[in-house]
Amino acid sequence: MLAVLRLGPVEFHTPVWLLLIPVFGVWSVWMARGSIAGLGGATKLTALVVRVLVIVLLAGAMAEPHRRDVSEDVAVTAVVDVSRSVPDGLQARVDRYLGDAGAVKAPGDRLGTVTVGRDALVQSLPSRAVTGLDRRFTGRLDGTDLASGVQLALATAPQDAAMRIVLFSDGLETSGSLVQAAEAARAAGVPIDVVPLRYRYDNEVIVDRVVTPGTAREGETINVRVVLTSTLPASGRLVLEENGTPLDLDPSGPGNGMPVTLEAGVNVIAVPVPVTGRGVHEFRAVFEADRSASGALIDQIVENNTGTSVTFVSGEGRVLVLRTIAPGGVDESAEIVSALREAGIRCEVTSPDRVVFSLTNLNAFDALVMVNQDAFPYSYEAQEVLRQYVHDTGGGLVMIGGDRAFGAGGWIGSPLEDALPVRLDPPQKRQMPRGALALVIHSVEIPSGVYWGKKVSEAAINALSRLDYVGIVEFGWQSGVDWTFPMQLKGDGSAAMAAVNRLVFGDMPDFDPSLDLALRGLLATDAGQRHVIVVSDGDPSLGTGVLRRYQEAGVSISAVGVNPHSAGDLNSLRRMATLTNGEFYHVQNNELAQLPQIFIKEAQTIKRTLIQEGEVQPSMVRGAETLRGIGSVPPLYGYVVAAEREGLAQVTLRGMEDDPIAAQWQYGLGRTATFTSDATTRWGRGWVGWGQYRQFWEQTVRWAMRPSGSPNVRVTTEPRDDKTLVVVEAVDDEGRRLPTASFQGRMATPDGEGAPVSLRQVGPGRFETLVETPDSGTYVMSMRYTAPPLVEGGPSIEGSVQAAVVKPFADEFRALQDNAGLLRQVAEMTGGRELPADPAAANLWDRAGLEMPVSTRSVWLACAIAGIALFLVDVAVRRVRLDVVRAWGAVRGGLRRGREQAGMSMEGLAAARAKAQERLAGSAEARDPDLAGGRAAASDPKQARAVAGRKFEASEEQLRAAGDARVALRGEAETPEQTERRAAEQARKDGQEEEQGMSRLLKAKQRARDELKDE
Amino acid sequence: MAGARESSGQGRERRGGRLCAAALVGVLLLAWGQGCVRDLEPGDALPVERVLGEAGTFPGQFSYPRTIDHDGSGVWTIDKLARVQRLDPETGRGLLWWRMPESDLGMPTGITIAPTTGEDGGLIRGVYVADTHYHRVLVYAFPEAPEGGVREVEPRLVDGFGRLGTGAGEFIYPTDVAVLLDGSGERVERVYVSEYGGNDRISVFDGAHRFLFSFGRLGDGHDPAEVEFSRPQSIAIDRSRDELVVVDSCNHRLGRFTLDGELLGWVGGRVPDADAGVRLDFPYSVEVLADSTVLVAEFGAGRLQRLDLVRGESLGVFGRAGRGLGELATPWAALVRGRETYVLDSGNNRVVVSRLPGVEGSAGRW
Repeated sequence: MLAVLRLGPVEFHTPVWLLLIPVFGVWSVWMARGSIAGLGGATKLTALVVRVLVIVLLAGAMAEPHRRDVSEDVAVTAVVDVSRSVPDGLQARVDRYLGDAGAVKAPGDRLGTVTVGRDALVQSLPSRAVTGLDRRFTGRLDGTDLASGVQLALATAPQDAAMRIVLFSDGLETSGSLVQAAEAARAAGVPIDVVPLRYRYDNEVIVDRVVTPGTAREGETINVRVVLTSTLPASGRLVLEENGTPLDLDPSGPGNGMPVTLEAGVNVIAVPVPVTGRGVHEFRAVFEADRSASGALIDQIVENNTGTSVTFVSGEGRVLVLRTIAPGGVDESAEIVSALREAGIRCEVTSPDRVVFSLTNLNAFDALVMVNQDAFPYSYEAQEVLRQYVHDTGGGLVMIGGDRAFGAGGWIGSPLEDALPVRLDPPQKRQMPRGALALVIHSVEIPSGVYWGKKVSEAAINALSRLDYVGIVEFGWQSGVDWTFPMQLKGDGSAAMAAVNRLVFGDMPDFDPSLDLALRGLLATDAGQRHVIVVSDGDPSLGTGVLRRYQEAGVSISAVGVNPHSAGDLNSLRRMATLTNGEFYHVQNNELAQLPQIFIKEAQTIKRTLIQEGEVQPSMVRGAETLRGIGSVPPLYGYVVAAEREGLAQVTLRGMEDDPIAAQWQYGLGRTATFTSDATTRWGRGWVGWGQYRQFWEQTVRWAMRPSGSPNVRVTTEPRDDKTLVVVEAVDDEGRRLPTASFQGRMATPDGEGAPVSLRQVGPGRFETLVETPDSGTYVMSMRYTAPPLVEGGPSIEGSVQAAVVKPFADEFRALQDNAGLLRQVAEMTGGRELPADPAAANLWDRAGLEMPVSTRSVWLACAIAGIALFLVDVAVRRVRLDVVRAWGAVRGGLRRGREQAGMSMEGLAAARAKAQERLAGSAEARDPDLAGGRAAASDPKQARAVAGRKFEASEEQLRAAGDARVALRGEAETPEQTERRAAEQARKDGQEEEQGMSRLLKAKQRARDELKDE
Repeated sequence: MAGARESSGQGRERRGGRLCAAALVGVLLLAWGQGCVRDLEPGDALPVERVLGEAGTFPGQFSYPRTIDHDGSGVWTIDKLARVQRLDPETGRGLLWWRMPESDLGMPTGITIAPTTGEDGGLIRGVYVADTHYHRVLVYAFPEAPEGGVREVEPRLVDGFGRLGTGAGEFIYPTDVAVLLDGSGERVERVYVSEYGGNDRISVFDGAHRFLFSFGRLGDGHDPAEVEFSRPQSIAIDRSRDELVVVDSCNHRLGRFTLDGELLGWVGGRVPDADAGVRLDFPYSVEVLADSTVLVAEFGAGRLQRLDLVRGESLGVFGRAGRGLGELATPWAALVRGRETYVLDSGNNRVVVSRLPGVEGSAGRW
């Protein structure tokens, strides 16, 4: 059966119904022989044609007819490789190429642009107005994902135009598969034309990699091997840094670098370096090329002149203690650090703002102890690194409370909360004072303003507990000032987060209505703490009345000015914060990463309600490793309320209503322990002087610490394209290879996602795995291992080991010449062309080979209406005798009369009237001699008109004589006999006329029957 | 008798024919009328004649345009890329454009095409730009049309006046400019500049841009006897009455003033102070029409409203908020050119051209 039948500009989607046309057509013709045999020849033909047309239209309507409109427009989307592998000179040529092509394109031609770096971004949708490439935001350029570029270009295809893609690239892709994307383009019928960006680096030196052992013993001398590839013989200096400090490789010469001479090809330079001190040793090698005799730089790409490697040096365990000392405040970590040091644990004490939160840095420590830390100094990324440190690298974490810690410190909803053995939201059963927070969001006129606006809103909502109220006010383009998320309990936060995704960041003209609405919402809650956060560039108007109302209600406003236009904007924001006892923040473009932290800190304003103060005697849970040897604990005088976490978390100390005070669990490879009270005399004054204070904390911290690494397990890594080979060699203290061992490992990746690492044994004491390391950045592997005792009855062997793989630059910079072959392959696959360098000759919008898009519009209704209308005509033709000639005559006469009447002047009308009166008078005279006498008597025209003017009037005498009798037009009374006679005569005439009509019809019918019989 | 009956029947036919013809003509007229300008109900989408522009960064495209004016044969806009563009009012094609010299702090929100005083003291065609976030008004000579299609031009800066401050002749955020010619039409008599940001007021300058006087101050407008503004976003001169119309956006009202700044009356206002007859939701622009009524673009409500300011009446509401054709998203302004209304549909990055009942632009705009 036909799916679609196309007939010229019309196509039928269910053409089977068209079969009704011949069936009913033939039937109609057959039936017409009898039914319309009595009609005249022309009428009969007309009736037949109309009937067939009705059938055609109605059957056609049922066949779902669609009108086809074929577009003539062509859209070209240019996919431009803007990655850093393409030299700047070629980038400029692409701009000129597109600019020149855009200037000469025809009016119906459209141009769109997509740029490709690490990510593909649409710069312009295909449009007639676009005349070139306008590079706005191109994202990271240290990678090339041509496949995403082509897929994005396909997604921009307009519905009403044919499409071509033009790919400007060097053909070097670092992620994705251009060939696969080209398959999709071919399937969509979109040819990909290519303009290869050709280059070749003849003078280039690349630091391929730096190789160091993954692990080393303290004091050992390791070989740092720098592998360089050079296209030509070259010379230069090699600089080596250890943990950021340059090593003096040439003590006799100037500077720290050593002169090196490179042969064409691969060169390996080994530098022996003694490693001192436990922890991470990062080695960074940089090659600085000499200039040639002519002064030209031998090396052309500087991005590939750097390599990095990391070695973990094992030794005695260390702990990093993080604490914050407020101006004029005390060091809250003093007692616990003193206790740990007495216990023989090496502690390094610092504040979070002095720590670089990277996995390699943190892995120098076996555990972190956070003392009364709020979330504000820790960026989202830092919190994520802390989580990975525990989960993926096996580090330990001990979080100790205080008035700025846990839920009261803004950690609710943070990545680190996942690592804790308690939930920071208060338990639902607890009756807690609530907080209420309203966010007033104004458009933030910065790049990625929407992104940051959503980030800060999410951060603030996350920091609230489920028992707090939250609401969001903004200026919407449709509803004006309104609640995007009406003030309500946060609950699980999903509804609030959905509302954040709906934010439109409208351009608010005036702060007052928004602040008023927020205030009304806050006052309608039963919250104990009420607070507003305003984020804005500060240019809306601000009245004074609204701030007075805030003062009266005791509600504070914190204002976050993001990239304000001027000092005036700052003033209005500062004023609203100052007058209501809130905080004012001024955030510039380069400080945007602070924004979520600001909101978390602000959310803390209403989180003080989570602090439970008063004496409480903690109840102990027996059998916990951290409480080993401890019979009882002193009372506490306060803690931060948290909730017990279901699952494997173990609560070891409980407070009021069974609140968890001390808890612990295994999280990934690492362990975390929490203590929601503090370690000072504020809440733990009974503890500081307690005899088992040191024991408690030593046992807690040692429980959390990563097991010491064994110097007998060595890890080496070896890059292999996008992967890295990890080799573990394990021996016992006497150097014998371990016959078997079990490894449990994870790898922390640069994108924050961890990945499991599983090793397979490839020989005695030798284990290997190949891990994916596609992106530039640092990959930290952490493995715990257990092995059976080598001697019967001996202890089993266990420990941990770390290694790191550093990819300092993207593969983008490894290639020394273009890959035009790939581009030609793609063009060939899709039916595209390799375009000439001259845009005028390129004919980007060539229509050859393109399938022009067709839009269809259903016309079944029009078809059906026409059919029904024609059906009425059909009936009319058969049942109504229409004298066309007379009808046309009537129309023509009407038109003529109309013209005559339109042409009449007043005089003409008067003359016509007089003429009519004369005619009437004449006819009356002929019928009534008395009138003739009268006319003669009234010889003047005026009198004559008076007589004529009587028209059908009877004389007074005639009226009197007539009584009820009919009055003849000429004025005589009709006698009853005359009336009766006239009626009889009329009845006879009518009967004759009826009889004549019937007999005519009967005769016609008989004639038709005779004709049928004859045939 | 039969002849008389026939005569009477013919008369009826003729009358019927005339009636039919009249009805046919009526239907045709009605259809024609519907096709041209039909009455709109509040909440109806605007009837769209055509749409100029689209989102983008090329000439003829917009990135949130915030001000519009016309010079008779071209439509001018400035968007958030700080691009001053002149567009073909029929096709929307970009005719010329330039970028404001500075835009890091923010973009202009006002453009006025009006005569200005040239170097020789005579009138020349000028382009006044309220350079909002640089606290000044820049006056450019009307640039010559470039040859060979769309071109970036470098217009000649005739003058610039104002600086950040609260004193006489200083601005915080200037929003709009209105130019008053003298009776002969051969000399710029006054230049009016509206501003907000704390100085919410109207400053008046002479033809050489020397400060004359100012009126109004920041306030919430609760006392209608006081001249208080909260973000006067737009101003226009009604030459038929010699009045200045001020859009007091955040107080949701329009004010009528003599050309010397004397208050004549308000229309609209904050709820519940507002005149019950007129409700405005963040009016952002005003255009004086040929019949001395005004057309207001309401940023907050996403619509236009025609007002009789003297009688304080709303004469019609046009359009509704939305993203579809004929719907408006945060319209910043509307201007009227002949019978056509050009609505700056900022949130949708387009200019919507429409014919609205009773809306006809005034011939002399200064």
